[in-house]
Amino acid sequence: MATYLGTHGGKIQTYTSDPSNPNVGEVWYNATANTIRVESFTAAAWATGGNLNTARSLMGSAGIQTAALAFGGDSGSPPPATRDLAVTESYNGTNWTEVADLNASRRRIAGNGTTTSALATGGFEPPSVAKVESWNGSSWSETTDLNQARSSAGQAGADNTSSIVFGGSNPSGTNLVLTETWNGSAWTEVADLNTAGYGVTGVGIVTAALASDRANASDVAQTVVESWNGSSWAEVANLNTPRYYAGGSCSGTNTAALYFGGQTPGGVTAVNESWNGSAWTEIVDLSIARAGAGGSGTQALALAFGGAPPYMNSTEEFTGESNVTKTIDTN
Amino acid sequence: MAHKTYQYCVAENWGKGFIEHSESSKIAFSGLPGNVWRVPAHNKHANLWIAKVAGSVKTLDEAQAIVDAVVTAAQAVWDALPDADKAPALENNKRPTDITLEE
Repeated sequence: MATYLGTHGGKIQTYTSDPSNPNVGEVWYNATANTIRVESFTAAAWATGGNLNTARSLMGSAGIQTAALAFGGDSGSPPPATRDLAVTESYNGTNWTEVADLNASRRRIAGNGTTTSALATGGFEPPSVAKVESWNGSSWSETTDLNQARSSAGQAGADNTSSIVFGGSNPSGTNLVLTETWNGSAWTEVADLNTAGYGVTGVGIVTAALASDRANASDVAQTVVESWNGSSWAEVANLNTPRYYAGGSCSGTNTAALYFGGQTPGGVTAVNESWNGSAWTEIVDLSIARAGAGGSGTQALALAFGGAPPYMNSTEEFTGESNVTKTIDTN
Repeated sequence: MAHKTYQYCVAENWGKGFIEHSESSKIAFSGLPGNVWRVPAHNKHANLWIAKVAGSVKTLDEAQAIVDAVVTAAQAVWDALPDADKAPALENNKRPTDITLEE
């Protein structure tokens, strides 16, 4: 009979508890649990999550993978149906549940925060508006308008008292570089983006944000990415795939983020890129190509929901690569 | 006879559990209009997934017809929109394009 010693040239180590930092492929015997264990590698992958109740694109989003918020957006319905949505849905990691509506229906809206404290800014009613609404976990209330009306902007921030809004399109359809920050009571114009654009995706917080993907004045998708350090924007490494209206891991940071889907020069894409603070790496694609999707979560645990075309309600959950200790079944 | 790279099935995405991480880490899924799913042909994991979701396997031509019908309907909806709502780029609302499936 073949033995582990015979085939691998070494004996299995015995431990009273699992080693703290085993290498992938390492095998050992756990004497306390009386089991053989192996350190294995789990690849990054997308899985389906619960479907939105209302299919939509270009919505606002906030939260993490297991606690996300989707608000407003575009139903894509022709008249006489209502195209602009006020519907808000909350995700618990399994299902989306409809909660209180926005006060003003609109699409191309931006957002940040959590399921208990979020901010919805701007949007297109039409035209592009400066409206801002604050979510307290159960209802939306109107608060101080942006200084600059805009839609299809990027946004980042921790909650409804701390936010940064950048870029987008003004009521005349001109692309913006203007950036504003929110302290819970007032909007203040701060340093501009270096590159104007709409369809920008924001990740991070008010002192450390990432502005990725956008379309220029000719509606051409860009690869440009900018990082915010609390006082100014600096260009960092470009995306591999030019795009706009991508989804993003909105609760990520400016050194760890995920961008998925979007519009490219060749059409809508499923491509997913991961940012480590210095470079973008293309990793596993979405199952369904989509643009205008909502996004939440982090670089390691993200959520993509809705998007178009066609206007969809499907949700995908991303789990990054990881090492996992598994028990070998010897029965 | 040409070697098939992909196989197609129709299955309704019920949400959580329809595609698990353990499945998508082994095979590449591509969701298409009409609840059509493209997965690798001649693949044990793909076949197991089709069985799990009670997928209805379609030939290339059958799958193409389903996708075409949905895209044509979506194009008709887009065509009915007021011109002001057809601003294709800013609205992320380009006219749906035809999709050609691969064998």
